[in-house]
Amino acid sequence: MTLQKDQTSDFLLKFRQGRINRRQLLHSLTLIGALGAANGLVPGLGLISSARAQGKTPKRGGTLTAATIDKPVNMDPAFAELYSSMQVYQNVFNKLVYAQRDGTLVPGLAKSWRQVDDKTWEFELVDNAWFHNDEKFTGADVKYTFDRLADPKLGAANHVFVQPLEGVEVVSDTKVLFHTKPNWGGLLLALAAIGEIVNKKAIETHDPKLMPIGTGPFKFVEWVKDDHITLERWDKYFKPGQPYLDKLIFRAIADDTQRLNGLQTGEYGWIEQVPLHRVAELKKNPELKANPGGQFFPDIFLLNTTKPPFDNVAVRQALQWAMPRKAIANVVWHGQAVPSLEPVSPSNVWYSGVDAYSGAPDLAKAREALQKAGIESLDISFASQPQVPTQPLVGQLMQQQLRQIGINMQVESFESARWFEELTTRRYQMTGTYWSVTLDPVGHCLGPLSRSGSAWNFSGFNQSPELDAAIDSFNFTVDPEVRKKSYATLMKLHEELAPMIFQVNFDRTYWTHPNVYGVETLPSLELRMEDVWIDA
Amino acid sequence: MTSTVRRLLLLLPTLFGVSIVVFLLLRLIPGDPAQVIMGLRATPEGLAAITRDLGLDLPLHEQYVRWLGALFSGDFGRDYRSNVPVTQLLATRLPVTLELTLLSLLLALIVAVPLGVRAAVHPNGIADKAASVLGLIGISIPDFWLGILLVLVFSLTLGLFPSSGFVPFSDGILANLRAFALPALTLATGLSAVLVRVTRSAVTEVLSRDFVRFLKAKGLPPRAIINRHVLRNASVPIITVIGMQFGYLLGGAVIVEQVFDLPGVGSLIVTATMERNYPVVQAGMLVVALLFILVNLGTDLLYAWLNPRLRGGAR
Repeated sequence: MTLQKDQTSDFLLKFRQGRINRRQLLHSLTLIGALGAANGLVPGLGLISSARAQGKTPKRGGTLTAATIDKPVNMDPAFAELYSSMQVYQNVFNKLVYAQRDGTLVPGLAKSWRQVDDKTWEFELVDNAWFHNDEKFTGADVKYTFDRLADPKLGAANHVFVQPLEGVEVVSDTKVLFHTKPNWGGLLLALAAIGEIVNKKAIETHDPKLMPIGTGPFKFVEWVKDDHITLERWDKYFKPGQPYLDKLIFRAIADDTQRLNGLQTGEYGWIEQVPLHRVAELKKNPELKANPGGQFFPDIFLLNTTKPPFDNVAVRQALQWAMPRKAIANVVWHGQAVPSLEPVSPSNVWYSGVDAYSGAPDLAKAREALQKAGIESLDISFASQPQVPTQPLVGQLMQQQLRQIGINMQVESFESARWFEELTTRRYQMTGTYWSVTLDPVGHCLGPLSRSGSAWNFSGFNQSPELDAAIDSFNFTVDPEVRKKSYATLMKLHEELAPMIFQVNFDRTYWTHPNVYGVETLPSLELRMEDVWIDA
Repeated sequence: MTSTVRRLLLLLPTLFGVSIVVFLLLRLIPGDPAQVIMGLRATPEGLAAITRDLGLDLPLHEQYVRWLGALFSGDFGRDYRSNVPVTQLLATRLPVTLELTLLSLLLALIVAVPLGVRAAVHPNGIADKAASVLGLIGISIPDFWLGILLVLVFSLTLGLFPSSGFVPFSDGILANLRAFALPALTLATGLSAVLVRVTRSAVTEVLSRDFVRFLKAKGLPPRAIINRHVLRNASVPIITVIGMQFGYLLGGAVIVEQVFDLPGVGSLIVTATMERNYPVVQAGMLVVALLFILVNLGTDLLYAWLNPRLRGGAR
């Protein structure tokens, strides 16, 4: 009996005996990634599509034009540099497992999975999936996908998320084994975040950056660069009856108002975001629909800990004490964000609620921390990107706040390329960015950004073996309860050391015409258009 | 004819100069293309692989010679990010920019030239006042604001035209023209303002010349004097302005392209510059420079055709 199977049975038994409720059961199964295996075992637990969940029977047909914010740049899932590319290609490819809105994991190309031992996971694969080049999906494709991702010659960015994966072994066309470092607890969440399965023949015969070929619900038709991408329903999709739409057109419209205009005039049926200050008003407009949203984008202050003044923990703590999170959420984000000291928002299954700065903003304590650092007054610079409209505003707000504790902050503007240079050469002192924390707050955020030695440790923080150990302890633990406790411990340490400071977590809501159904914001941030349908 | 050939021959060294300036200026701007391509999720291995693949690890002169050599064989390079050939990008962008430019100019000409002429012929009349108002408003209103206003009225309120986007000519002439209506009107307003002022002042100046008094004394009808003699003589400054504006619009209609989400050359070059997408900027700038030179050449030839006395100057 495997560890996960034991736990799954244990949770199911507790549920049947009434010792835990349905919510607790789902939560527990999510943490161990066992919901797929449990699905069907519990009466009433059967997973329902989000379309049906909205109380209507999905209808087939129609074309949906979706207006995202940024232009996609690359259709190769190994190089998900930009979220805008993922939004499109995640509808062309499938992953082995998927994360639902509440964080539960459900089957994708894997029918079921189990942990065999502390270094091995077994996945049973579907046998009715076909790539869009008419190649049948098999275990060999799974192996090829992850071998390719790990190829140093390719330099794939997404390899960072699966570094503890040591290899994939093909047992048969419908069964694979994942060999990992001992007790890697982040495997399933990594697969649900970046595990799009590709096909060797497709990769070798077409440029994967330009021509994505997957097993997904929609097949790629055309990409008129910087204008639109067209996808069409894949008739051999392995999920019967899905997708519902005939055609899906993606356009990228950078300006919020322009996007909203297009939705109101009927040019688009789905848009990614409306002007933040108009959300309350638009929610009352019967001609538009705000679909269920979610907070999966933390906004972060990165502090350069390799040089003064932020090499001093007391200065970083002074900033923590001075943080006006509520003001940032209300003034900069017009209430469309929630304050949070950690990568996830209070609504997230991982949220710990640990607050090492209870009562912040507390300017007296901030001054005290500065005094502890031996500093009376300080000049710092904040590197903002004007193309991210909230950043200069956050900078101005912080400028006013920090002035009160004797910190004179200068807000500087850098266009993207300059900003990257400031960041990677560590010329900056303090800057802001957002990070998509999709499913795993440590494996996908704290680990890459704060662990010493990580390529994405922009703060240059490598002063705490204790923090590294806490990150590793979380990453290499499978037991959900231990992981949850480990996360809280890690979060407390991270807040105290403050190599970066979490400000708020902003809400992403997708807007549609009222007759568009099945739309919701998912923690993986994918636009799962296979569930979307139009009631014509 | 000799001057035309001479100027065509000068085209090559001019473009060569442009290529060197653009190539070097781009490299002087801080920012690593590989880092921009990979974004925050860059890894040292990924950056090294991209730098190597793009040839950015080579000495500058070698990069330039390689690029120029490929250019002579018709290879403009590939978009760093998407791997799309730059020729393909330009082939889809140029028609959009050219159509927008031509439609805007056409609209501006239809409105500004008759209005400017009438304003000059009847000073202080209704047309003159209308020309002053158009001139003032057209020059004062920023393109982005007018564009938004037009969207508000004609798209959101009246529902007559789409608020943004491009429809290719192949998808239907009417749909194509509807998509271009508001952006062309936005650009034409500013252009008309300049043109109406230039036309009015040029026609006023010609009307004050002796030959016009002579034609009037000769008993020629006023309409014939204006159409056959005055307009032809006043056309040189008008054509100069049109030529300059045409050249400017080829790469400079960025704001209108952004407001209406039109995939034109201007926004392509601006975005590519921000991304340090060298091949796209270099090729885009060369094409814009080439078109600019050709438009200026065309303008000079028009001068000579309109005014034989200028043919000497053109030589």
